[in-house]
Amino acid sequence: MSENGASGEAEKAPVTENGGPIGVGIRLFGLGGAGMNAAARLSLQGLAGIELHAVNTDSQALSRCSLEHKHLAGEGVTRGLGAGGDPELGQRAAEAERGEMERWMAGADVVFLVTGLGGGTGGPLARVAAEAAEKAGALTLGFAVMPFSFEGTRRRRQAEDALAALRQVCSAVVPLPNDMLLQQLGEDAPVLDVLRKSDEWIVRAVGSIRDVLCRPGQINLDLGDLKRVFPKPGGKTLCGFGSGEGERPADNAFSDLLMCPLLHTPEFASRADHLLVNVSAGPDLAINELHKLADRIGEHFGRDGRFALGAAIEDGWRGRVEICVLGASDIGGGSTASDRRNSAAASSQVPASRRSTPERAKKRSSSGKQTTGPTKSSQEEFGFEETTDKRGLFDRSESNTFEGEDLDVPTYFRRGIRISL
Amino acid sequence: MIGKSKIIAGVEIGTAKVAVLVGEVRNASSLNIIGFGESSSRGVMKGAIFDFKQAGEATHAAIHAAEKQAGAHIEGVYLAQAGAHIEGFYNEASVSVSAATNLVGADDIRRVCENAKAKSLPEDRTVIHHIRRPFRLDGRTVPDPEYLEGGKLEVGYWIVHGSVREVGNSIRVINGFSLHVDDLILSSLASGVMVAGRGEMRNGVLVIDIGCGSTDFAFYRDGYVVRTGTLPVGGDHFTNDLSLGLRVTRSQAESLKVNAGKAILDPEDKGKKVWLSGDLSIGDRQIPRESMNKIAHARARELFELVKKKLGENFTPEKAAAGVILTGGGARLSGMASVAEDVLGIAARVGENPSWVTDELRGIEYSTVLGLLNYGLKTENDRGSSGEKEKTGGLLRRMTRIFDRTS
Repeated sequence: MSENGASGEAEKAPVTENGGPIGVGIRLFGLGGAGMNAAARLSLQGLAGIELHAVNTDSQALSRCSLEHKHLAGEGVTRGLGAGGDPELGQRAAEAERGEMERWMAGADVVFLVTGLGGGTGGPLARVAAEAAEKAGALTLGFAVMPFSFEGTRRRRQAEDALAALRQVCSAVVPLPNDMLLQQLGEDAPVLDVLRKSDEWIVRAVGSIRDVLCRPGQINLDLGDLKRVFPKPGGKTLCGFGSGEGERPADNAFSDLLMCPLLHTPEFASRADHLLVNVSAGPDLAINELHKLADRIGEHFGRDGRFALGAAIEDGWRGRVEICVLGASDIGGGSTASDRRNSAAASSQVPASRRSTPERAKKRSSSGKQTTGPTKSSQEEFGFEETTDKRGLFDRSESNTFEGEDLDVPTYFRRGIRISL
Repeated sequence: MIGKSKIIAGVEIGTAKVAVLVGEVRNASSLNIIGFGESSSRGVMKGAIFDFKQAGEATHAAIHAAEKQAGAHIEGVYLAQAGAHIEGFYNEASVSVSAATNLVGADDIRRVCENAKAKSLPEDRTVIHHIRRPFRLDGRTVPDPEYLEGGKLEVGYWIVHGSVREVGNSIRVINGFSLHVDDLILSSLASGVMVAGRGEMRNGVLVIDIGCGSTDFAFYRDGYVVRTGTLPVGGDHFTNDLSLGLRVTRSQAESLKVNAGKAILDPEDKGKKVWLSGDLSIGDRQIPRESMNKIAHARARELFELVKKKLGENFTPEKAAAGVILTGGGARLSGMASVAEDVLGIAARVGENPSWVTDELRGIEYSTVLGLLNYGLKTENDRGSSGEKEKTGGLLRRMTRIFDRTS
């Protein structure tokens, strides 16, 4: 996996006093019980160069957490006893911490939020944290672990509401349905394995973005490129990984990417407007192979909008290719198409005055390379409308719920039946 | 009436296909199918029209083809109704027999029927069928109470209603071709008539019509429809599940389902694989049959469990002595009957259209449109014999007229 190879090198890289690499401040926050535990497990996996924080309303759980940066949230609201699955209480606790959160976010360029959405704390904390991060001008990427179907309708609905709310304030949200994770492992897998599986996806995504930003690649990507891929919150996120070895590693990696379970769950977009592709490969990857690979990825996942390609060469990786695809679509948020068009036009025409968050606007315009004019961005929007019907058969139809279960979602998926391929 | 012939037509705007049949009714008693048209449906999902223009074009193509083959012009059609918007409820009423002699008169029958049907619906709902159950006179079930002696006459109706908007959409598609709708018929009732015999309906039979976008069922007992229902789950869901689970495109999933799909966990398939496209092209790979079976089995099981849930306590294996009959394109999936048997606890089989149907239309996916013509024949029959006891769908006629006017 790329992050393992990456960590050794990154550790040697110069770091600032808070542990992050010079130039880009990356922070990861584990929010709520599940998020905190995930962050703690991630700390063991060599995510060097990333400052890890834990935020929880439960002081007892927090005291057992091994992370360096720990924050007790909403002490005045829950008296450090947790929110007990009550989202209202969680909401109040999170609001009470808004000022503090803004302080923790100050100076961050990229913020990862990791949380579980079935309970009462994770959702509200993540939302407030995302808002604080946005205020600090950081790019915010959320990882939301969704509860199992068998955990009941109430928790699922709570999680879906929280996910929708989180999408509104994060640059991108990657939902990790526990159903899917279980899917991958089989019905008799121990709980810890399921959790590890979700960690694995988070590590791969976080590691890949860290690599994009911190490691010199053949084709370099910087924070500005990353931000342009996620121009506006609210849409569905596309996230997929593939790795290939053997005689034709690029082809194999692409096939593996197409099989990535993250790309085949109902919560995910299958095509995106804006795409970030990061390829890590051994020195034997020819440039035209890379080109071909990027072409195929663009064709498959959409390149109507912005398309950013990064490539890093790993010396020890002869005959091996890894791909990470991250994408964002403009659909799905509360905003209408014309709304988005206006804001897209505004963001490229009027620098700071019409933006909701001046700091962020300043950062963005200072990164310079705004290549898209207003005409082009409206074309992108148009191009997107045409592709919506390719997104899964039932994506556009009304929801189909019977006794709390969405019947359009595959049955095997809801029942956690393992499908081996 | 003698020697007179009339052209009738049945139209089913389904999720997978639009099917049109043209029939000639002779002497109001015999039916001859003279035209058949079919087109792949577009703009329909889960049994409901979402793209009016596309659905209209597909329907018109099918109607045109059927007219051409029949060499006749269609004026009115019997239109199938399916989809999640359709619901049903039971309502009954009772009256005291008015005559001093205690003999039930035509007026008593009219009164009790009207009372039982007079249940007001919300504004956005419209009645599709009033299905009468047998009369009861002082608690005794009687097929025809007129001139019988008794005090209290009771009757109940299973009332099927749908969304005005959805029903209106399908009527408008027909009206758009300058045709009028003779009547609306619930898909499951149309197909039920084709695959279940009178004897089976008397003994109790459950007909499940698994379409592409929705599943409709009708439960018959003592020769009457006791309950109908619809689920927005059909063959498309099997395909979508396979596509997501096996990570293949939808068309690949469809072809896997049709060619190698099974709804049962067949132990013989353990370790066996099937080629995705089988043409040795790049990207072709082997799919484990076991995984395909698991995906389809989970969906099939759930489908029948939902049917069972929707039927509620009204349905017990003892009440359906003639078992379960599956019909519709979705019933073609191998092993469906065995899953139905397993879940519902009674014998199940895949239905067949009657032997008089030509080979072209023998497939069970045509039982609905055949049933529409059969229904049309029956209506002509009723018109032919003046003793029309019950006007089919009084309210409904009003609805079809409303749409005639507005379109």
